[in-house]
Amino acid sequence: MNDAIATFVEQLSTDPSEPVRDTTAWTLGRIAELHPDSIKPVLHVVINVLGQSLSQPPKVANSATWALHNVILIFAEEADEKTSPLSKYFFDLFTALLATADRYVCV
Amino acid sequence: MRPWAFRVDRSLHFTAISHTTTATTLCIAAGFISDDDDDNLLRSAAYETIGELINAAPVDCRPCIDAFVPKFLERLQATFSPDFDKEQQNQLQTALCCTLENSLNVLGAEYRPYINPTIQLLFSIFQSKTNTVHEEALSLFGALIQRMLLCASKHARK
Repeated sequence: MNDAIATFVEQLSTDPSEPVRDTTAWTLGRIAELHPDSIKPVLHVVINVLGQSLSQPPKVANSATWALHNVILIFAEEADEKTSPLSKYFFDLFTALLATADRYVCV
Repeated sequence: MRPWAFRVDRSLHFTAISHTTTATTLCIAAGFISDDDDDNLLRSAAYETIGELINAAPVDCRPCIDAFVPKFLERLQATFSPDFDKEQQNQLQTALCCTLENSLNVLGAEYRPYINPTIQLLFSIFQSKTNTVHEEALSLFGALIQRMLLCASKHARK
């Protein structure tokens, strides 16, 4: 699974085809949904590549947003803890998602 | 044709959006969905994920949410500008009401400084005639009242 994730991460950041990047982001989202334990060791890489993909064309960004949603859900049970692995990325994710929400709106 | 996943509310699940991705692509190819709908889907998805991020926030991330609440209120205020078309206004107000409710639930008593500005904005929303937003706005209003009652009962006990 780790090898597959590495391949998807590479494809999402470098593949020239938009549909391929879209599907790759979706696949990472499915991995996060169905195999959350395989995401935890590579959280840094996955969050980085999905965060960067938020600035891609709407379809890719939409799939990346959905994938991030599933990654965040992995840590939903740690919401009442003092800290969680998400803490490190919290501000950057918040800012990037807000910028994505504002992409086509001038507020 | 508008995909049903377009609307933002708490019952919307991304699994549903993911399942409609292929269908959406087909609809665009058939000319049923414009690129504008893609943008709208992205905006809804981004706010939904922000909501989930807020819900999953551990204690050390709460100051960050606290810092972003004024930005959400600013955005909600900005939706009353005539620059927004009705559809965009509805979508943004719905998403922002959900986000503010998530923030209120996580921040609890720390949301107190934002109660008044939130209520004022909610009154402005209630003056409009958009049923879609009213559902989310009422839900936020209910959560605010609950929070205020909780604060009042704590004071009464003292």
